[in-house]
Parts: sequence; C-alpha cells; structure tokens
Amino acid sequence: MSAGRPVAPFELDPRQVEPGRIAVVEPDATLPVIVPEPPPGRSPRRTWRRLLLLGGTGFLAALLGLEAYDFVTALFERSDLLGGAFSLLLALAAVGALGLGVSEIASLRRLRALGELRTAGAQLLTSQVHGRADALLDEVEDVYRDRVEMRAAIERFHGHASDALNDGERVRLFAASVLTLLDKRAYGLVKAAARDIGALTALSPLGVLDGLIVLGRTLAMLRGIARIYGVRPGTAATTALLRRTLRNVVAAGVGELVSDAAVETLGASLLSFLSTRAGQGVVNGVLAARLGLGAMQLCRPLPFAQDELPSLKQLRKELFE
Amino acid sequence: MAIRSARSGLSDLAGLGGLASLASPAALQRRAQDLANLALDRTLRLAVTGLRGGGKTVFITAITHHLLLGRELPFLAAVQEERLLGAKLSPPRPGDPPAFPFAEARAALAAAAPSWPAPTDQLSALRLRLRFVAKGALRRRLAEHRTLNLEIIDYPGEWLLDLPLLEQSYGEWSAQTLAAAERPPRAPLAADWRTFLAELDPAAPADPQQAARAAALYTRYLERCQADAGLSQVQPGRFTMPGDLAGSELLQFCPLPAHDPARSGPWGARESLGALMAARYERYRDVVVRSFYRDHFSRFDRQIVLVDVLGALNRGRACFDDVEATLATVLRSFRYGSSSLLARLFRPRIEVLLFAASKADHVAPNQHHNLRLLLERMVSEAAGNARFEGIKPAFVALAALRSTDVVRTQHHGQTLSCVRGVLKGENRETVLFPGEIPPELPADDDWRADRFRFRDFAPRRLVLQGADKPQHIRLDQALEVLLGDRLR
Repeated sequence: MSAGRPVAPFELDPRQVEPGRIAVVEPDATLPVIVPEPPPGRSPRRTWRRLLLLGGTGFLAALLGLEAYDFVTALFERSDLLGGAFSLLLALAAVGALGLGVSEIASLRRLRALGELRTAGAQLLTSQVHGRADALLDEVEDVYRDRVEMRAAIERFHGHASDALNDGERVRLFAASVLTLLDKRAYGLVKAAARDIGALTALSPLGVLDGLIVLGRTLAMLRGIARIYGVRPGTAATTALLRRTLRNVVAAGVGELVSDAAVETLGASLLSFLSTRAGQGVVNGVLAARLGLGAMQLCRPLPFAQDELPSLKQLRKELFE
Repeated sequence: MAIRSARSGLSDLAGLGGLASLASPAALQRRAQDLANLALDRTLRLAVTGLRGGGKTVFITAITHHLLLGRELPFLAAVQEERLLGAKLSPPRPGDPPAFPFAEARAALAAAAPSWPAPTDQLSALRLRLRFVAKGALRRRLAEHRTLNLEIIDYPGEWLLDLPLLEQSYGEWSAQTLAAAERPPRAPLAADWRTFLAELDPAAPADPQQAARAAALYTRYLERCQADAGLSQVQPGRFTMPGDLAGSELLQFCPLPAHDPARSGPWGARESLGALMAARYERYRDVVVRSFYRDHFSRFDRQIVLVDVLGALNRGRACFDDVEATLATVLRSFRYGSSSLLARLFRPRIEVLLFAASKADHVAPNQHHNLRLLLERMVSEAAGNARFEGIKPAFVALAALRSTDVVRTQHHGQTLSCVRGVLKGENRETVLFPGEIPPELPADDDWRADRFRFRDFAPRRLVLQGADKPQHIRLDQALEVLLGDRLR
C-alpha cells in the first residue's frame, strides 16, 4: 500500500462520510503481472502481402469502375432512359457492397473487441485487488444488455456481487452466473453439429460429398457460436474465426486428436468392426466438436477458468454413448 | 497421528456398554446404515475447528441458514447451477449428542437487537440433509436426486486443547506446564498457585482437601490466563469450561513438580499426593479426553480451521505466538491424507483442509489478501504437515455474518477504505479505519502500541428472507471447497 509507515487505525464521525458505498481502492502495485498476448508479428512478408492485396483489389475495383463508367456513358449516348436505369442499378450495387463491407468490418471489430476483453479478463481472473473489474464487466454487460433472456442473470449477478469481493472473484462470479447461460447453449450447438457431421459422413455415399457436408456444417456451427456470444458473424469474421480456431486446434496437437478419437472411441466400440465409414464419421464428429469448443474459447468475452473449461472428453462421452 | 490405537482398541472392547449397544437390534441397524451411507458417499463429517472465540457457532449457524434457504451462495456450484433442491435438519438419533440449538442461534442473530452467541459450553451435533440433482448425464442416469448428510459438531474451543494430552504422560505434562508458568506473561498470573505448590510435598500422603485446593488455584490461574492475558494454551480444557463435569472429582488435579525419582517412583509412594494427581490425570485423559476424541474427533472427512487472526494481533506478541503454537499442537491430533473406500469406512482421514481467517468484515476488503497471507504464515506448520500427507490446504478470509459496510475516505491526501458498523458493546454506529494487516508475520517494530487495534463489531441483523445484499463474505467459497465436489 502506502510507502513508509503504515497508517495507524483511527475513527471517524459517521456523519462526515458521504452516503453510498464505494469499493474502489487505490490501485495496487501487487497486481500479478501477466504477459499479455503478444501482438501479431509484423513480418515483412505480411507487409508485402498487404501491399499486394491492397494494390490488387484497388486495381480490380478501379478497372471495374472504369468499365462500368464506360458502359454507362455509352448507354447514355444511346438513350437517356437506358442509361438512367443502368446507373440506378449500379448505384444500388455500390451501396450494397459498401454496406456489406461496413458490416463485415464491424463484425470483425466485434470479434477483436471480445478478444481484447478476454485478454483483460485473463489478467483479472487471478487478481486479488479491488477496483478494476467493474469497468471491464460493464463492457461485457453492454454486449448482452439488449437480450431479454439474460436480464435476470445479470440482475442476479449484481445482487450477489458484494463490495467485499476482489476483482478475480467478481470476474469468476460474472462468468458463473451470466456467461454459463451462453456456454450451455453454445455447448448444445457444438454437440448437435458434431453429431450431425458424424452421422452424415457415415451415411454419405461419396467422398466428395463428405467434405462439403463437413465444411458447410462446421461453418454453420461457427456462425451459430459467434452469434450466441454476441458477434454478428459476417463472412470475414467467420473465416477469421475458422482460421484462428484451426490454428489453435493444430497448436494443441493433431496427434492427440487422432489418438483420442481412434483409440478411446473406436477401440472401445463396435463401430470399427462395422465399417470404416462409420469410423470416419466418428473422427469427423470429434474434429468438429474440437473446433466448436475452440471457437467457444475464442468468442467468449471472458476466459474460461481452469475448471469450467468444457472438455472434449466429456463431450465425446455424451456423443458416442 | 500417533494416538495409541492399540490402547483405544482395548478400551473399546473393555467397554461393556459398547457391547450392549451393539447387541441391540436398533443400534445394529443404525451402524449398518451408517456404514452403507459412508460407502455410498452419502455422509460427510465436517470438522469445524477453532479455538475459543474463533467463530465456530456463528459459522455453523450461518452455513446452516444459507443452505436451508439455498440462496446467497453464488460460489457454491450446486446453488449457482440450480441443482440444490433443498436442505432439511435431521433430528438427532438416539445416542447422539444433543441437537445444535440452530433455531435459537439464528433467532438471536435475527432479533431486532442481534447479539453474538454466548461461548459454547457443551457439545452439540447438527445433521443436515442436502438433496441435489446430480451433475452430468451419466451420474443423473444412475440416480437423479441424491442426498448428502452433512454432520457437524459444535463444542467449546477449550476442549480442543485436551487432544494433545492424549500423547503425554502426567510427568511430561507437568514439566511442560510448570515450565510455561515460570515465564512471562504467565508467571505473574501463576503466583498464587505456585506459592501453594512450593509448600506442597508430592510425596506426602494424599489429602483430598489439599488436592481440591491445588486444583482450584490452578483453575483460577487458567481462567486468568484466558480472561486477563488472552492466552489460548490453557490445559486441561475442561477446567475452564467443565460442561457436564462441573464439580466432578475428575477435575481435581494439577501439575506437580517432579519428585526425586530415586525414591520410590517419580510421584512417591502409592498413597502419596503425587500418585493421586497422576492417577486422576490419567483417568481424565483416558475417560474424558479419549472418549471425546474417539466418539467425535477421529472420524472427520473434511476440516475447516477458523482462526481469529485479528484478535490474536490485537492481544500482542505473546498471545499471537501462543495462538500460533496452540494451533500447531492441536492440529497435530488430526489425521490427514486421502482415504480409500475401506479407509473411509473404518479409519477416515481428513482429505480437504481449509484454513479460514474469520471476522474478515472487521477490516476493509483491500486487506483481505494480506489477512489471508498472514493466516498462511500463522498455520504454516499444520499446513506443511497436511501437504506432506498429500493434501493441499486452502486459505480464505471470510465473515460468516457480515456486519460492516465499506466506505472510502480522504485522509491527509490519501484515499483510505474504512468500515462502517456498530461497535460491540457500544450502541452507536461508527466509521473506522481499522489499520493495515501485514502480509508477513509481524516484525518487532510492528508490535507498536498503535499498530493493531482492531475493534469488535456487533452483529448486523440477519435478514431471514429477501436480503438486498450479501450477508456474508466468502462463506459460499468456503462451502464450495469443503463440500462442492460431493454435491456433483
């Protein structure tokens, strides 16, 4: 706390103290230092790639615009009516493209904002001091304020969050009383998707079809999870999510995944004897489940505490029983 | 744990009462039921341990109240997940200690002018049946609704101090007690008793009058240790809190200086005063203490140790060290370690150990962290023993009944967190900056006169239904550590 001599106890006249309880306490130097997630590395390759992307898209857009302009002016020369109609259509398309672009960017931003909240939450999760959690939790609350079904849970959280609780306890309490609702729904979604993918791969007659089914269903699942946690998923956000989730899952080790799925599930069940396609179904299902759980971690505005992390093992048990 | 189990086994066999009760069909059935419940994980015996004034009774009352209501416990996963269906108090079974006076204790806290409960003076037991929905599809398929019987006993904290006697002979105990009585802060309190002892010849023929007089002076000395000096190490515990043994001949002994062992044994001839005292000590140890230990203290599954850290700091260095030493000694009498199924049936060990600094509401919340760290240092020996046995002890700063608010004030340009509440014994509300708690054991210059002056607050009225803010601090987290895994 304060440097030097500790302040000796003293008593005050209660009438002098302003009403209203305040729990904010001077920030403390003892906050555990947690290394924040390193910013994405700005490698030279990345810069070149950006340059290429920017130049390429700019060039194509300009080309397209120029062509359209030429086309429309040519039409105006033929007839004003024709030209007017076509330029109207062009304007509509331009507005649509702009709107789409804006919403894509907004949903990407939301995803990033949730990521930042999560990083801040991870720092607070083990904190023993007071006063920093409220601002963060207010931001998280803002994401869900419009949802009628969460109102009761948020109110309950405020009823329980006494000013004696430190930041870590507050964050954990919020996660346990509010976010669990979302976790449950997302978990159900992942389970359903994994089951579908498993069953459909096992039944589908063509290998090519498998791939399409898995891709389509996985993307739908990711979008669903993002929507539950408050990201309005556009194509860009979904792609970004898929890419990050895949990276996470790969980082966690595919080898483990294969042994997990193959040994524990196939070895113990009759499925392997029945058909290899069924086996593939199981593997695909587990993969989808894994992706889904990964996406949950990436969409949740607060990190999962160690013991609330949804486990693949549990999900697998529920799936293949 | 080195209680002589062979001996306690013998006394088990020798107790004809035990055999008789075994023979009766009702008792036999009850024992079988007990075993079945234990085997099926349906019973959890919680040791609520704490020295005098540690807050055991309030803790038991508060957890029972909140569990009965099933509210205000957001950190208890079963409540948060809405799996706790309800709780019910069970009446004591024949042969149990009297029921814990829960209704009275709660009524006293919920009264218009609430008061802390009087010091506990007798043994009582509480049995709480918790019904809950099992977690996870698989468990639910086995049995959807499950029951956990929570068994807690409440007892005077003084009696805990008897447990170390089980491992001491009269000679050892006398030597240790007399040595302690010669040192400050005990020496001045022991003056009367020691002058009387000086004139006493342990080898002289026993005179019951003399023994009674010595015991009375010794009891007076113990009472003064407790009341005037605030010391905790007062043995035997029944002297200051006799319970149903008040006035009994069992309590008429005291430590005596060792007699020259060359002459006919350490305590003189068979009929000598020393021999009489030694015999009474042994009877006290073997009858009172051992049966108390065997019936109530050897069969715990989980333990919470409540420590009044603030009180210990308040009373100064000698008392603080005394509390530290007493806790270490007392906790040596418990068995720690994870138990297998068989061990749980016949020789249970404590598998979850939680140390709690009680009365955390008496300081501002930003001091809780330090309070917890200081508690960790205070009980490091006992915690180390538990770790050695493979148990990871947990620590928490809690308040079973929160009696203060937090307010922030400016003081010489510094912002300080203060607490507001009604001081105990003074019928007025006040705002207090209670001071800061060192995260380490206090150093020499920390024991300055004005550093630790924590005041006791009167309880705030317990709102039975629909409280608008939480009425405890971290009680639910303590419960989650103690019972959370058994409510899954």
